[in-house]
Amino acid sequence: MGKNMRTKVLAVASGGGHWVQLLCLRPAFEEHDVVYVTVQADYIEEVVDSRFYKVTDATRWSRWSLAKMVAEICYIIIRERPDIVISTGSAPGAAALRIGKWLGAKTIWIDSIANIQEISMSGYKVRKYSDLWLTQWEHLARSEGPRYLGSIL
Amino acid sequence: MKIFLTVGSMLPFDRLVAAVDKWAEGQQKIEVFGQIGRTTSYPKNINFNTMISPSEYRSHIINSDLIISHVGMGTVIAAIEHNKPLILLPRRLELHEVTSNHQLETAQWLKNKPGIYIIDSEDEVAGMIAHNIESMVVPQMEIPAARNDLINGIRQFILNPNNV
Repeated sequence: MGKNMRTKVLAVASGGGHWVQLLCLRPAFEEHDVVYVTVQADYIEEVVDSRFYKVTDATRWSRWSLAKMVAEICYIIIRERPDIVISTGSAPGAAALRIGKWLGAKTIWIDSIANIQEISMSGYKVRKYSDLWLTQWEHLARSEGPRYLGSIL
Repeated sequence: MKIFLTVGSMLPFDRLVAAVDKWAEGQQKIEVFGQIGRTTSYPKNINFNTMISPSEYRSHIINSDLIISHVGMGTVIAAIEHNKPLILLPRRLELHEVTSNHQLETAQWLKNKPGIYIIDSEDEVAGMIAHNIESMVVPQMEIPAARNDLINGIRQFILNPNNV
């Protein structure tokens, strides 16, 4: 717990649909102390009353921007010490879940609703670092995970 | 009458922009604004910007009568929430427009939803706009129970994370 006893939630998403889906899920966590992390600075317009970090928009194709993004995420997590890390993907969210878990946070991954046939590569990679590992499609749920609890559309 | 064309923030989609630009040539009645992505292929017959802020984007969604887009979930969700009809062209991996073919799969799921019109090729853009513009059905949106279930499931986990 943070020193004021409120649960601190780090909410991480890359751009476009990942960010939109994270915002659709806001009612799940906005009662807590939320810090947002995403890849476009002007997204702050949509979360005006919350703390906000912009990180490098890395994809798996560029090792340098990936390394930079991971360093930025490390800095944010060490500084914020979240109790919970939640992400709708993709790469920055996966990094945040891994680092967050390592530093003692509970972690939540919600795979994008656009991944209909199979869970995303990032989602699959973080399965061991996710305390709550979710797909938005019932037919993708398995006993060993991911679980299906619902979907935004 | 206004059309909002958007290709998302990740990659350009010149094939779709060029098709809309071609349709727009010689017609004045319908105002078109395009968010065309980081490209150097600029259209000649429509107003455009390469990238726009979230508030500009929301304003275009709200003030348009029809949205033309790639199959991006951000745009699909925004259009459904504001009850705007959508014409969607999936990006294709083999044309290097996207990093996986998931847009084709997503399009299959969306195509039976009211108010969402999937086209398979950019050649269909003009026909879809011309024939359907007055009679387009709008998507119906109520927040589905499934969304509330997901929200509540996550919420309960956060309140009791040691009790999975």
